[in-house]
Amino acid sequence: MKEGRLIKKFDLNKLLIYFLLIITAILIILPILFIFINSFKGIVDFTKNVFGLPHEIQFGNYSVAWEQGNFFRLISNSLIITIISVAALIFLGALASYPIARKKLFGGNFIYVLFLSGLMIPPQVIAIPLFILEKKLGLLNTLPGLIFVYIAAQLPITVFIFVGFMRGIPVEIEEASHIDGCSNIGTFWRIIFPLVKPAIATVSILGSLNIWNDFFYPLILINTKENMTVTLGLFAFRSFFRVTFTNLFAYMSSMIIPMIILYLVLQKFIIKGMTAGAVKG
Amino acid sequence: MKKILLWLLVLTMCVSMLVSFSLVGCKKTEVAATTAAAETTAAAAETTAAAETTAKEVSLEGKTIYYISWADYTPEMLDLFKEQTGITLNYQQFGGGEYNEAVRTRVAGGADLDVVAIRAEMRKEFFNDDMMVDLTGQPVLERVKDLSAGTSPDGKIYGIPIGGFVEAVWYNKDIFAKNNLSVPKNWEEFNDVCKKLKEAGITPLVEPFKDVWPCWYVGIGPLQRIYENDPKIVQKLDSGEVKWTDPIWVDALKEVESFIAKGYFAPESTGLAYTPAKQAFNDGKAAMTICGTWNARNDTHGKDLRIGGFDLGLFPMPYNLPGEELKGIRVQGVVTGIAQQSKNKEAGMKFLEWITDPNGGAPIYHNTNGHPSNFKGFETDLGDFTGIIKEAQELPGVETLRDDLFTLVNSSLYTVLSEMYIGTKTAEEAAKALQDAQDKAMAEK
Amino acid sequence: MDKNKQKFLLYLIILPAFLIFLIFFIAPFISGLFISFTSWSGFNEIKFAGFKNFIEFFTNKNAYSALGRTLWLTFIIVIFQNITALFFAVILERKIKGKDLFKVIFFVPTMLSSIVVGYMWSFIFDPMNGLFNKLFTFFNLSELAKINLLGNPKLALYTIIFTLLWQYTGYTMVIYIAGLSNVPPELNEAGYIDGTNNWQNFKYITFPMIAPAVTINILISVIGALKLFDQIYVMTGGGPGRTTESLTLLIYKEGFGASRLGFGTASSTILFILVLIISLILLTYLRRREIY
Repeated sequence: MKEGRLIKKFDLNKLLIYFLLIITAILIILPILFIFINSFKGIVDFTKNVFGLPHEIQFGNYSVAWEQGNFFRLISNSLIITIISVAALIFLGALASYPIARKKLFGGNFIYVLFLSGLMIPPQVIAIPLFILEKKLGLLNTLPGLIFVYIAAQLPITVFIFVGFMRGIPVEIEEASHIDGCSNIGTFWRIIFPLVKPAIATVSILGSLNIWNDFFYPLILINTKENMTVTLGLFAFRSFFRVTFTNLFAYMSSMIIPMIILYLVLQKFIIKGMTAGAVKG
Repeated sequence: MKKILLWLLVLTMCVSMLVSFSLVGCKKTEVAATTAAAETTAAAAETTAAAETTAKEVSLEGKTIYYISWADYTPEMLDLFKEQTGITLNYQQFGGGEYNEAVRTRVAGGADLDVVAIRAEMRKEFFNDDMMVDLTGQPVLERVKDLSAGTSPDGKIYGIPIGGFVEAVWYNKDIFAKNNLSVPKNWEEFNDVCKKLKEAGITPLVEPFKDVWPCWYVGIGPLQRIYENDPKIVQKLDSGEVKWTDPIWVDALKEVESFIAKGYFAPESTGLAYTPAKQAFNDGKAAMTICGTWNARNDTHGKDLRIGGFDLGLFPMPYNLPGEELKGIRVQGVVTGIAQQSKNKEAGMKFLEWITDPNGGAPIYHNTNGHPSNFKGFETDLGDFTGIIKEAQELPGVETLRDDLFTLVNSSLYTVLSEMYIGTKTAEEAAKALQDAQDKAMAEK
Repeated sequence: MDKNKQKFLLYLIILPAFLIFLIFFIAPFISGLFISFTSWSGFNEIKFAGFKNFIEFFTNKNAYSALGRTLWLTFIIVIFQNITALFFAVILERKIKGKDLFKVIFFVPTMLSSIVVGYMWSFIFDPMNGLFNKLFTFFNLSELAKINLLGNPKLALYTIIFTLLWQYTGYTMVIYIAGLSNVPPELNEAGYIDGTNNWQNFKYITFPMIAPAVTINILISVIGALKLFDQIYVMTGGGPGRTTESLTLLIYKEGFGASRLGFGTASSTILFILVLIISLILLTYLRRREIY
């Protein structure tokens, strides 16, 4: 009798939990779905029928968004910036982290702390001088200008992650390689670099997401249509005085959908990568 | 300096490459090192390539001009310009509150910029020979009806006002007829109309306050009247002879405060951007919306957008007290000039000639924007709207105070009015904030 | 000799990363400190102004209320984001059907760009034609439909906070789940044998075990909230009035909008000091808790 009541109570709990989970899941999916569905409506259909299915599916919104918003140019800008920055981050970050993590160097700790201090400097703090600096260097409004900034801005977290991982590698492994006659750098390439693969995954996922989704740096550093990233492109597209909402939805969907597909394909890898970095630290 | 630093960067990249490349102690790793190195060289190559392109563009003179404005354009307009002049127009449009920041970053950053539209609040900063090209005496000015918005205090002309507008109230004639309301001819009658509408359960006004600049309409009546009584008021403010905290301003702001308190604006206004606010009016959710005559276009107030195709009307903003003459508050449209940093000013001048030319860009530009023209010998064909806005456009005009105030206090005017609207600032506090804003703007110059 | 060469090489491989970091991050930061003591519009000559900008910051109501607002917003975000995330993490750590699916769904917003999220919710909260409004109108709840979520000076800030929670709670949750998975189930079982209930188990066994995850999550959410810019810029631009103007927005408006670079950088220096102090305090406090 007593046991029966317990089970019943447990079920009620479970029901409540499911209810909560499902409501939350709906809350998360619904807005995205709303943008996606409305991106296929004509403007009149949209104003009369906001949360129904489109009466007539229109792909015209997408062609307007892609042409007027210069979508493919901007998305390739974003891709170039993200790929080059992340590659440089992995390469330069891992190289720099190795002596910091595993060698007793004079000033090594100071360099590490300096890198870490970067974690606490918000982009707004350096924005104004950065703008002036890039202007002086002639890098303002160029993709390399953005790439350098992204490398610099993401280095603190990258070094943090790499150093964390490298410190976890047993000393014996490295010593063995020294005995084999490898130099420091040889050891790094042959032994350490392959061992920090999880860190590389973390750095590339975190870095790509941060750089791809960033809006602030392009906002201050880029000022022609051709060199914008896709996030700034959305902002500029929205700034058109009388932009049609359905076109805007098409633009947003074009940004959201590839991300979600990529995420669904790689979700295990992405979630693992993003948590590994956080928990290791 | 610039070059040295650039080379230094490239050099460090090369050093890192060399280090990883030549000093590798064990063999297997070379592949990884080369791919990584290739990526770094690619980045370095791109840096130099970027430096080269800036050099190249100088030799492409006369081919592309960069134009930044908040006005609308169509691809056809760009094509027509290219066809008629052979110059490519790189049109960058920024609307809403971002325009000033967009222009400033481009100017401060020395970006490619030839033709630039100047907002009223930017005039003081931009109307000088360091920033803009002096257009005084250029033949193109002959075509323009009214140049005052493009003229600096010392009489030089730095820009051409493309459109000529009047501040007005768009109203729903059907609602007015149903409630036996007639068009108000002064501020008192306007208040009366609002009151009657509110009593009948109809929202009198809806405005896109989310865009901040329309907050001017909260204070347009009482503030514009100050100007009417004393046309020199702005110079007096500028010289410090009159302060914002003087009774003349505080009283006007108090009147604004009491107008706000009457609650004639739709409460949703603070959450509405431009298009949704105009749509709310089209949907019959409010009887009126204050806006200039620049809204004369089908995609804003077209018949198919108006619910039940209601009869659309417009009257000039009745800011005047009873017994005083009603004038049209004139807003000069997009003031367009040539930036001093322009690399091909001749091409920029060509654009000004083209846009003012009735056989060139004037028709397509004006029709796209729904703007009444400010050019001699050319009237925009605005279809049904021509009749609607005719009366307001033809009234004897008075300059808008708004634009002159902007030159003193920048966009603080908007922010302060919006703070008054939501009740976080009283009239006295608003006056003090405006005086503060002006003092700071002065100190910085 | 060879050893010295090896050492030199080690320095050399730090150099490229360090130089880029120095030039594009530390140098602007330090010259920012310098600019904050000047009065400069970006066009005219630089004039030394002493502490004028800093004094103005603490006497200018717009500035210090932006500071207060930023702190308040950070406080709320940190509390709610962590509690909600921990709650869902504990639920999803249990044996529940479809828990992987829920985990995947909850993490989706993390993948989206903050400005996309900002625009998305502004459309939903549009007081006349937004999804929110139409939904309530449909169910005849006209009072609820009238709520002007982004236009109401009292609500706008909380509406923005809601969208932030929507976007970032999933990430926080996933970190908690990773932390929870390190807690050996035997420990909880031992607790049950000793007669503790669920809550006591959580409080005395689970929670201390996930202390590192708590540290990192609180730190991430605090720094994230202090740095917050995109969503506010896109959703309200600081309005209505100035009721959602954060410190970052003030910096941007003063620096780039009003061309007051001196005051803008002074405000940003204050933001940096704020971030530094808060994260150092948190770090010392939370780390100490981890040991015990």
